[in-house]
Amino acid sequence: MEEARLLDKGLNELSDLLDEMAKIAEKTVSASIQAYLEGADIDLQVRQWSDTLINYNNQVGEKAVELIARYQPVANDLRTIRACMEISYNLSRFGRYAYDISTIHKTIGGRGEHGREVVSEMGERTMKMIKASIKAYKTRDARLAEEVSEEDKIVDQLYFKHLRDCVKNPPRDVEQLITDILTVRHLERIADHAVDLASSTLYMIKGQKISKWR
Amino acid sequence: MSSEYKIEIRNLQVGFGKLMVIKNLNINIMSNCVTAVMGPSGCGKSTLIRTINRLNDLVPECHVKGQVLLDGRDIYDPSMDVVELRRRVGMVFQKPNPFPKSIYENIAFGPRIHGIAGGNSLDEIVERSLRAAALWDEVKDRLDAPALSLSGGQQQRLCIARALAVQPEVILLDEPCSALDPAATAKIESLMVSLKKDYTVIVVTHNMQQAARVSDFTAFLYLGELVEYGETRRVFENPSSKLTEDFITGRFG
Ligand SMILES: Nc1ncnc2c1ncn2[C@@H]1O[C@H](COP(=O)(O)OP(=O)(O)OP(=O)(O)O)[C@@H](O)[C@H]1O
Ligand SMILES: [Mg+2]
Repeated sequence: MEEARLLDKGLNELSDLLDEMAKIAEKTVSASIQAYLEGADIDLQVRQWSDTLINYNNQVGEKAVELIARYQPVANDLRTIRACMEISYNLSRFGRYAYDISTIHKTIGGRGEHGREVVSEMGERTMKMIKASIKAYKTRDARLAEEVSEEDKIVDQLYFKHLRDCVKNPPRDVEQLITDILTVRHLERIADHAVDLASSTLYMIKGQKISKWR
Repeated sequence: MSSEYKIEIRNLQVGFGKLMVIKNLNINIMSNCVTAVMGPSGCGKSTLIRTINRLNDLVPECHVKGQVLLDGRDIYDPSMDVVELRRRVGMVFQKPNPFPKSIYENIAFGPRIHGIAGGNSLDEIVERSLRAAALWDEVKDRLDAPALSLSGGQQQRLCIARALAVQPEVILLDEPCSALDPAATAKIESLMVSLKKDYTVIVVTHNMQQAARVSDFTAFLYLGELVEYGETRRVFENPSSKLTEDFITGRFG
């Protein structure tokens, strides 16, 4: 067994932080969607998780800067560090949007039958994207990372379809309309961050990002 | 003739007796750029750059095959004037090696041999060279002092000034900072970058970060072969070869 490089210890610490964040982020989004569908109040809990993610994201940033300053990493080491910073940021955004989802009905009011179906379907697809993007990162799977952006196209379609439906057949209850639209919008944002996460993973593996606007 | 390449090396093979050191190497060196050459000890870096001013000719058992074109002209052609070649392609070595003479005489030596170009006085050439090597301010009041009384970093800049005094086109530096402290190293690094305005600079370095800092292009040599060559940023961010990757990330076995 060869002597481990000094940098490897730091990279392992980054990796541990991200594993922890990934667990919390996934749980947070899933819980907020669930709460919406079941009409439950979990915003306090979600807030706590989201704050934890933001805190971890700061730790990742500090660690990354330390590793760059001390070891001047290059090549895959450098790409890994950049990717970890980006991935950690995207995981923290999952938490932030999940928190928004969990509080909308408190600020606006209304959460009912109208958006249930689209939230349920978009929620499922978004969760699938989150899981895939995290798995692609952990297993360094470039193929899987690229699939995440394919799924995002469907989420986008569902999002715009919902907007058009609302224009054509607006529900009478304006509070419900706004709450649903915002929820769906937040899910669309989360899905987008899952693509970013997958894109950073792809960069880490291959040195190039997902070309989003092709 | 306006190639963007100052030097084109084609199918170069260099050996010492039975030992083949450079094995069929091709590389084009861009004008007015800094090109760094990296690679493990013994891979042939010094041998490679010493073919560019035919310093290897001085080693009896050394044999060279292939072409080294300077501005499109083969420097191994029998019609090549080797003295003139070495004026056009200057060299700075790992250990500063000033002559045991005064600071002034170190710089004046080359122009005296090669003749003074463009009606400049010797004094002017000495000042201009020392300024270009970022040494003038430190030595202008003691030009008659022995060169060997200077610090290591100053001696190395003196050697660079000496190389510049004969108005070369290419400057080869073989690990120019390995005997210097960080402050002197930083000065030589800035100097290498500023020199590319007027010269084509090739530097052999064992210091990866130095290559990353100063060079526009990086070549990675392994067992006498060119394993990787490209824009420095690309080579350090996303090398195409596993060997390069392992070497620059310190995983080399
Ligand atoms: N004058 C010589 N006579 C015989 N063999 C030589 C001579 N100069 C170099 N060699 C051999 O050529 C090979 C390459 O040497 P070279 O000095 O070019 O390596 P290098 O890449 O510059 O190494 P380092 O990083 O240690 O300076 C080595 O095996 C060396 O022993
Ligand atoms: Mg050498």
